Amino acid sequence: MIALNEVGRTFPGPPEVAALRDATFTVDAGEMVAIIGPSGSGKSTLLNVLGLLDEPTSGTYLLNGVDTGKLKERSRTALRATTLGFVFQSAYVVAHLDCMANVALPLTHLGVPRKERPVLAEAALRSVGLGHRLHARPNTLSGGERQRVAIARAIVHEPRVLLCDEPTGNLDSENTQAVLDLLENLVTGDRAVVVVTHENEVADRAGRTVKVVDGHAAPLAA
Amino acid sequence: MRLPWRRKGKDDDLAGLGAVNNGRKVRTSPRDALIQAALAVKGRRLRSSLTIAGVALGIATAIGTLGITASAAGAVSDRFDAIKATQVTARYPEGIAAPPGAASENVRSLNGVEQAGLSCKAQDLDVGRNAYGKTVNLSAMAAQSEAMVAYQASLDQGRWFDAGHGERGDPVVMLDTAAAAQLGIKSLVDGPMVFIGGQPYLVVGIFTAPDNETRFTRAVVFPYERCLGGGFSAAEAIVRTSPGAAQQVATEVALALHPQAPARLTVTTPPDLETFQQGVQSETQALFLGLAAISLLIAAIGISNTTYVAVLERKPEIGLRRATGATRSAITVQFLFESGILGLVGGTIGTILGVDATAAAALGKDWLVILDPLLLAGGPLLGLVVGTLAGIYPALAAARLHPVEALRTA
Ligand SMILES: Nc1ncnc2c1ncn2[C@@H]1O[C@H](COP(=O)(O)OP(=O)(O)OP(=O)(O)O)[C@@H](O)[C@H]1O
Ligand SMILES: [Mg+2]
Repeated sequence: MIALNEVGRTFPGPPEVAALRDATFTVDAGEMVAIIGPSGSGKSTLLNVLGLLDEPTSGTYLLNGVDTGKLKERSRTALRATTLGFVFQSAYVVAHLDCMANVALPLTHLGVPRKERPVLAEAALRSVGLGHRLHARPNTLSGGERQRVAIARAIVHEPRVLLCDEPTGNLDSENTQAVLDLLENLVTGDRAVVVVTHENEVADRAGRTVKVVDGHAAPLAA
Repeated sequence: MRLPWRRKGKDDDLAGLGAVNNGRKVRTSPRDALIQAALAVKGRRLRSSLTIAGVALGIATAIGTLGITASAAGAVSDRFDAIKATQVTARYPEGIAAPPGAASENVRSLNGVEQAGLSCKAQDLDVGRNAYGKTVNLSAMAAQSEAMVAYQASLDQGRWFDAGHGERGDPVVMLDTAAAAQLGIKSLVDGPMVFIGGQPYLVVGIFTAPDNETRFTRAVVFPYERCLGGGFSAAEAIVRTSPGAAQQVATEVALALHPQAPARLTVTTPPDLETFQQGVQSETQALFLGLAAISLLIAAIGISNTTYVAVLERKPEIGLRRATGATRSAITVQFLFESGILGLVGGTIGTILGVDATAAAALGKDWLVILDPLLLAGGPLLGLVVGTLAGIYPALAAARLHPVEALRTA
């Protein structure tokens, strides 16, 4: 599903920063992979590259066989929109939209027919246990609920890969457990989940771990 | 659940996914961009209403200015139309008066002349009801009845002079209502007489003097032929023209009256109506349109600023939309729609306010409300244009944002 070979990302600066020097690993469908490492080691940079939000400055990144380095911006956007889902440390819910409209955002930008969106959005919200808050404004939700809206939004279009950057970073332990349960359930036969974290209890849930140290990312021997 | 764009049974669908969504391109439709923009305008109520108020003020000033100046100019020309715009006078030099026949006939045959007649002023006279006894001092005029009609005197009782009165030198006079009242003449039924210098004159008619000709107020009027006997002054021809003909008639009237020496006549024409109107309009309009332009500019800067601040505030939203498939152009379009909506709503409210202001100002002064219907459509449209133009820079700034940078803010 994901294959990285000596992927690097250097920010031109000045000063020039080699945030990611060498990432070489694979992620297959049906697995959950944790990316761990100290602060500033390049985890978020790596995840942005995986998410086609940022372009590597060296190496090759194959997403399900497609060499992403050869894609134009429009195709990258399209591939990202159809294949990937994102959960960040902040929920990034749009304050002026209710839960349904927030969750339907990816469908809107994908061009899914308008009639089908509420059905999919409602199903996604129910799957994260928010069936009773469909039309709530985000500012009336708790932090844990907001993050669950973000997860619903990340999966509403059934992405092949779910990318999460510190998804439980803002949550207490109870909400962390709930979110991890959700993520675990999202690992299916044709979907991979990648979670950046520095919390051991998160890493423990993952089948495999990729460790990033000073820009070098490699699978941790089990 | 399987989504339509994920072709069933094919595991390599990502390879074809460069731009495929169930056979269609991944694309934010314009209609969706518009809906997203409308939701943002609606959801961000306070910010939106402040921006809308700014635009409304600018458009209201513009509409109000155009409306009030048009109504004012209309009111001026109304008054102006009714009295002066169709009046031409030709004054004879002192000591000369035209004979009654040919001259006025010549003038009446000019194109655009509706009435024309001759008149002159005599010394004021003491007029009484009896040969001897109490008299009142009245202004004395001699005039053809056509002249009196042309001056817009109106007949209350009796009749105007006829040609025979002058030709025969009949001892007849007309009085205006004020003079008749002073002399105690209420009715002409029993043929009342007045005495001037011991001579009796039959009062044949009573008229209401025209507002703008004081010479006919508190006046006794003789047939025009009296002017030819000496002791008169200010002999003149008055011409009432059809609307718009005054300027043309003025160039011809002197020659028609006095072909031997037309230059000796002093012709008075109304100021050109259009020039006059434009004078009124352009002076006030230039001033207020300047003000309106400035308020529109301020409104535009307001929209631009609010939208730009919104872009900064909404970086995460922009990053998220980009991450979930919105292209740069989709972001541009959404923000342009937002500022366009703000402009359109502001323009519509501003138009309503401007029309109200015009109506209030015009009604307060008893003017006819004159508003170009084009303005009613133009106001909202102008708002839309101003809003959209003002949104260009912020919209491009939003589209330029790199998704990673946009999502960095926590
Ligand atoms: N746009 C940028 N320009 C320059 N340097 C950058 C940029 N983005 C990240 N960096 C640097 O790259 C390095 C890696 O950053 P990154 O955000 O990937 O770290 P991280 O592993 O996610 O850390 P944390 O656990 O604190 O989130 C850091 O030293 C950071 O300062
Ligand atoms: Mg990070």
